[in-house]
Amino acid sequence: MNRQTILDTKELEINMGPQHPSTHGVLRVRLKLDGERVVDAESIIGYLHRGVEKIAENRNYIKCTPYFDRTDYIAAVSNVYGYVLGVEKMLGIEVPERARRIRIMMTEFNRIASHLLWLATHAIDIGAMTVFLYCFREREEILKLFEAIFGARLTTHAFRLGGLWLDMPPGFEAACRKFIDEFPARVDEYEQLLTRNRIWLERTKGVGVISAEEAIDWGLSGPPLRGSGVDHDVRRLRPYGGYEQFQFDVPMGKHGDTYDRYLIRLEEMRQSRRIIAQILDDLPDGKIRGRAPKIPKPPVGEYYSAIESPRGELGYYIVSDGSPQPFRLRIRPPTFISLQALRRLVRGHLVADVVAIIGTLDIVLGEIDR
Amino acid sequence: MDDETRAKKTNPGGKKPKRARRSRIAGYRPKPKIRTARPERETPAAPPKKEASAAPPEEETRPAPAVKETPATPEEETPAARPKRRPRARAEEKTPAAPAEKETPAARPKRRPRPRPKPRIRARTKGETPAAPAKGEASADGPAKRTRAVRPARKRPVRKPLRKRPLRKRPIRKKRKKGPSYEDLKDDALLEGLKERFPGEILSGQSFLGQSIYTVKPGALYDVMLSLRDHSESPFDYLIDVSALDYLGDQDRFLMVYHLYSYATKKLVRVKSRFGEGDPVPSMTSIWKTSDWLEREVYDMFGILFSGHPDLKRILLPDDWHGFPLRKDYDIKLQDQSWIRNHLKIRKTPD
Repeated sequence: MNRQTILDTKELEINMGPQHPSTHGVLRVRLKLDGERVVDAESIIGYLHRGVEKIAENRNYIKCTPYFDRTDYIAAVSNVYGYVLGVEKMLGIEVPERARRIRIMMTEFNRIASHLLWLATHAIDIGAMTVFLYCFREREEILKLFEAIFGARLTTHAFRLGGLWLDMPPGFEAACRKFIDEFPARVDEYEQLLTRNRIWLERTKGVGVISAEEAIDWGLSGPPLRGSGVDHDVRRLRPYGGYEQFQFDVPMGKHGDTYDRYLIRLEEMRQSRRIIAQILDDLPDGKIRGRAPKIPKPPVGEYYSAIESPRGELGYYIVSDGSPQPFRLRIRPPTFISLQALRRLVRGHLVADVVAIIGTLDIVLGEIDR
Repeated sequence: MDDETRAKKTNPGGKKPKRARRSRIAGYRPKPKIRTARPERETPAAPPKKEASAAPPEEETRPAPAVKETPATPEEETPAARPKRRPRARAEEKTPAAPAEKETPAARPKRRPRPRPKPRIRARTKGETPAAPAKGEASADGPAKRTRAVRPARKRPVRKPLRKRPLRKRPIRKKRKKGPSYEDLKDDALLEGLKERFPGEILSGQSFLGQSIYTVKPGALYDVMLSLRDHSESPFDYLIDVSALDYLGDQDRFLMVYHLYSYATKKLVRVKSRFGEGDPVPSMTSIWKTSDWLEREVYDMFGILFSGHPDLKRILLPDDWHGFPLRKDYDIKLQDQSWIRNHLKIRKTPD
């Protein structure tokens, strides 16, 4: 290489991933660089493809439930929740009030755990090591709660058709209360570390900006969409499972940058805690499982069941032909669609910002590749 | 081995080994044991007899010969089978018919709750009295009672459920009909607006579980979608999902399914259109940017081609993979063997 070619600033192609620590899995990004500026980025996915949709077509409605734990393993509880709600709707199964509330409570715990993992890894990507340790401390508490009620920390297989498998174990309610009593102070702790941190501000403000119109056009959902100031939360607009009974705010950003998305997720954790507190204050006694068939055969028809997962709108499009197996089970993964916008978000930024932008989208490759 | 050889030597017939087994089993259950077991059951029932019938010593002596007089024992032993056996046997005898018929209908419904032993005792005492004095005759009548009593007991449970079953089936069928079904949309402004704008192109407007579905002719799909996005009242600016269904064997094999959402009216809509194999589907990438990857995935999984797509290639599977996994004729165990051999260096893969 002589001097001239370097100064010419030819387009340089760089391969990032699939074994890159900040791609949160096995994402491969092919970057086209002009100097240190990103001209174009192409995401290459599919390294974790397991064909969950095909497997679901060959299992009956109950047997394919555990596979949805494995699609988005960070938010396994809410992933199963969306599927179970859809099948219950098609079969006309009624879920007892106690089970519905415990479901919402555990889904919100899952949202907190997922956001904590996001914050930890996002911070460590940008260079803040301490936050990682603090977040995992609280996440561990939630995983312990999961283990107590579901029997597993990560692949929980949380909900069954008609309700829950088991009721809350003794002492569980007290443990939940202890967590939510301590949690607001912990969030303040993270904020102390990051929100006014100069390095954090430099690295996140004005990075990966997307306007509301563009965010809608790219089909974003969840925090990336709300960060641009679009008031869209499935829990509020198309309430499912009894969310309409609880009071919570939907935080929204103004600038649509990485910093706003960070603030939104922190606020969402507080709002989730608020929902859990409401449930714990008013948790009725009673059954935890309604009557559900052992081999469910939904009537011929179709249903699109959507929930607000920690990452955005998670949809299950279930098509039944009256047989015990679904004729087609389409998963609408939120991060598959938001990762698509990476190309748009990254353009014009520095290579180091690519890491921050991948982090702010909160991708989980298990869900993207399915 | 011994049994088989014996059976072959003695009787070469096929059914004989079974008989040998039966005899064995019978050998393990010695007859006196069965008989002793039966009077044991009687004993709890017997003491009330003594109480009820006071203390006639003749009755006490009866259970002792009962071992010899087999006819008397089975009647007393199996109280559950009694009412079934008795009525017919006694109806044939005619002499104790009148008391027996009255007892049996009363005894059947009362059996399930516990305080029933009392009527049974009465029945026994009454029924036994005529049979007991004629001991010499009992040997002749007794065996006749057994054979007659056993046969009707087998027939009755078979007949009764047959009468009940058709009555049960009717309500179950009615329940099944209550499930959700497709209903035609009525007074749907969006459907009417579309029908006005695209006459003859909108095949149907239905709803299932409250979600509205519009079926469109493939030729007009792109224009309909464009008009939906630019709708004046409810612009469907959010393309939630693009997916496909494979109806193998139909003339138009693939069904494209689009989920749209309007932020203004908060309405969710599903648009469907049928396409044959090899027919290009108009790409929606110029309407919604979201559809880029979604259409690539549909191509990857179903092999549906999209006309006007900027970069139509596989997304989840490797570029040189053969076959489209979500098609119905692609078995779940099917793999691209040559790809696995070339890339993963696995020479022998399980069939």
